[in-house]
Amino acid sequence: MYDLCRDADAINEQLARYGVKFGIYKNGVFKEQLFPFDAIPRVIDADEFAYLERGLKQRVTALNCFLADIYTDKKIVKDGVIPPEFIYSSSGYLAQCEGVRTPRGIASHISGIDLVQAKDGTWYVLEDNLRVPSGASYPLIARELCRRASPATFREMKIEDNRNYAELLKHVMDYVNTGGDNVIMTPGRYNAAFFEHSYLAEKTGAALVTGSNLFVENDMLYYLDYNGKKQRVGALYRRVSDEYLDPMNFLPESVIGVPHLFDVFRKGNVAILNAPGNGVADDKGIYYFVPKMVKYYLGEDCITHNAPTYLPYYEEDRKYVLDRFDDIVIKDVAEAGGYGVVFGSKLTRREKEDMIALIKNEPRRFIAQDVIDFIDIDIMENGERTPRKADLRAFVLADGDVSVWKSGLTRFSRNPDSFIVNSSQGGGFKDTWVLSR
Amino acid sequence: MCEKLLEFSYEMRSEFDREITRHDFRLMCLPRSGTCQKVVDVRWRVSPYTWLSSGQDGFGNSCIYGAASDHHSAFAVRVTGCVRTGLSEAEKPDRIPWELFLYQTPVTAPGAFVVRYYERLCSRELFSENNTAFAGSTGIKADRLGEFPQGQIGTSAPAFQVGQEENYALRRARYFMECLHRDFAYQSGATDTRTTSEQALEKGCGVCQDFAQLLITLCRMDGIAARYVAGMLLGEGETHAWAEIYSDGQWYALDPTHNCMADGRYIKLSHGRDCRDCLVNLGVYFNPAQETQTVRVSVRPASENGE
Repeated sequence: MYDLCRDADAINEQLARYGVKFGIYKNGVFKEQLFPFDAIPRVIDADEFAYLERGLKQRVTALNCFLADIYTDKKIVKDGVIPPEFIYSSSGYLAQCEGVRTPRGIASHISGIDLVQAKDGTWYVLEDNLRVPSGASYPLIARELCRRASPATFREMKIEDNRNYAELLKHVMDYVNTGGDNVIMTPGRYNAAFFEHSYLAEKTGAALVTGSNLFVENDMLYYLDYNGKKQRVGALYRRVSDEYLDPMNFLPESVIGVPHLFDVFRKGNVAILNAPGNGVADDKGIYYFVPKMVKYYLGEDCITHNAPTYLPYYEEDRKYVLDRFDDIVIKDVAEAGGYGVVFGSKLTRREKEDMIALIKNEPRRFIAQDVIDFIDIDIMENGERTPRKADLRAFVLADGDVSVWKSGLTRFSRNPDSFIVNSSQGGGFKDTWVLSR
Repeated sequence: MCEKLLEFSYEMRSEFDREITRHDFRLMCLPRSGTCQKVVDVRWRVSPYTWLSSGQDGFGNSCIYGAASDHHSAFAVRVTGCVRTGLSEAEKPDRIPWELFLYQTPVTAPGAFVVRYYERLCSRELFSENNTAFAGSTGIKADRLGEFPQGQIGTSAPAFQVGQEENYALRRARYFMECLHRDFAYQSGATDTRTTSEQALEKGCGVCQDFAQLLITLCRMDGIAARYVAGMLLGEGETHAWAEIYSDGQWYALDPTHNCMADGRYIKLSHGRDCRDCLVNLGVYFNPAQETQTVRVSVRPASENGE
């Protein structure tokens, strides 16, 4: 471990050389920045991880049941568990997906569940990311470099090997594959996570293509391989958001999409990972209902904890939000990546009045949560250990079985006063060690 | 209800001023069967094409789609067939819940003009029990520029109380239709497929698409589920558009362009949340070219003995 800290600079240098970067759009300008690595790992012991594993498996199983239900029978709405408004006015709900049954009934193949640990040790789920959660490759490559820098650390300590991520991913692709090759579709070089797309393609043996290499013929999806030969695609791990996937079915102005791709999917001739339309299940408004989904579909109590959440949509909750305005954090359900998050206590009087008016006027648009005082994790800054806020993105992969990758992306805020750790807001990352005993 | 057997033809021809290639298309110009109409017979011809397929979208609308990959400078579609219409006065619900059509879309979302218009329709109490009495024009054409505020107005309407009075939603929608018919002018070419309800009302004129979307906007503001319908109308011309509104468990078809219920003279092609869900034809292709499109629709009573 001490070796690791000593070598952190060298590792960061290598990460830069490997192109481990994170691209962000700010004010219309694309800027690629290094995603700074901190050598002190987050360590999760075996028992604690076993608990998280049980909880996350259950959570993702329920979310997959919800996605299969909501685009077909909608039992959960008919039975009054979730108000229809939370489905049909959600920007993640895609009417195009109505009636679609996904290959093998899985819609969220790769789920990124964001958690924080409170000072009393309780883990809280802050967000489910079921669309195209990125980030698994960062701890993967960091581990590889750390292992090289300090082999002894990994010999002496009982740390779960995380090199099986690509294998898990390949399993998932093979499981849902409808006949043909596994392909990773990237929007291209200028995407925030391009590094990761190419890394995962290499590690899973999938072909890495952009939309212009893919085409549809007679309700089948094909790509041109390196020899210019046409190959059928059976599983498409796309790293392009829903609305840009197919100009014939979504945004007609999309130039990175593949015309008729969605029609192929609708006919069951290709698996798309993750399935289009998943946004309806990871909307901040629907998050409130996840424990209810677990109960409804699985008949079990939800193992994972949601942060205490209030929906101004319900009168009782609205009252709580207005009474306790200074103690809560307000989130705009339509925003992501740490944008649209407001701490009640940090607003001026004027801003506060505006916000309250907005909530009263558009209650469905916001959720409010108690501010969780989550634990700090040490990072090395200028040779000294300094505490910083950090979260954990756990990766849950669903094929016939659901498994939780024994690692994860720990992101920390570099600003000591900030609670927001999203990489698009300029944070750094750590490796996550899961101890095997 | 007056049952009819209608024969129709839909012809679309696009001419390009230079050759295009890798042309992908998606056509929603096949009639859909339901409670009010049954498709008896339908045939289609598309040329040129490299591959052609058909299927349904999320709303259950039929589509023909495919690609014409080789160089071409003209593209033509012809659909002909026979539909039995006027089978019922309202459409029974299908598997898509009516609640889906309660919410505004970016195209139907009201802005300041529409909010002001809606408030005015509500405040003048022109809507009466028997739904026929009008105290006079709301005068939107005359004074709208002076009176419409520029600022933002809250857009959420109080939830509609379902089931108070028999077919209240339908009577409310008919009231909005009559107001629109009087206050909004038909003018071909005034708007395009991207025009929003707000833009159309600000302009004061538009085509059937704008009439339909404005009616949908007003109904949704009132808490009434409403959907957009693309279709064809008895006679010669282009495709037509109207709206369906949900009242007491059924969908009623209203044509605000003609201020009437859409009956057996109408053939429905598709429905959706707004015009973007019901694009009759959509194409993307490589090479910049000027496209000239002509559409000819013909609907006439079929000779029962079959030609």
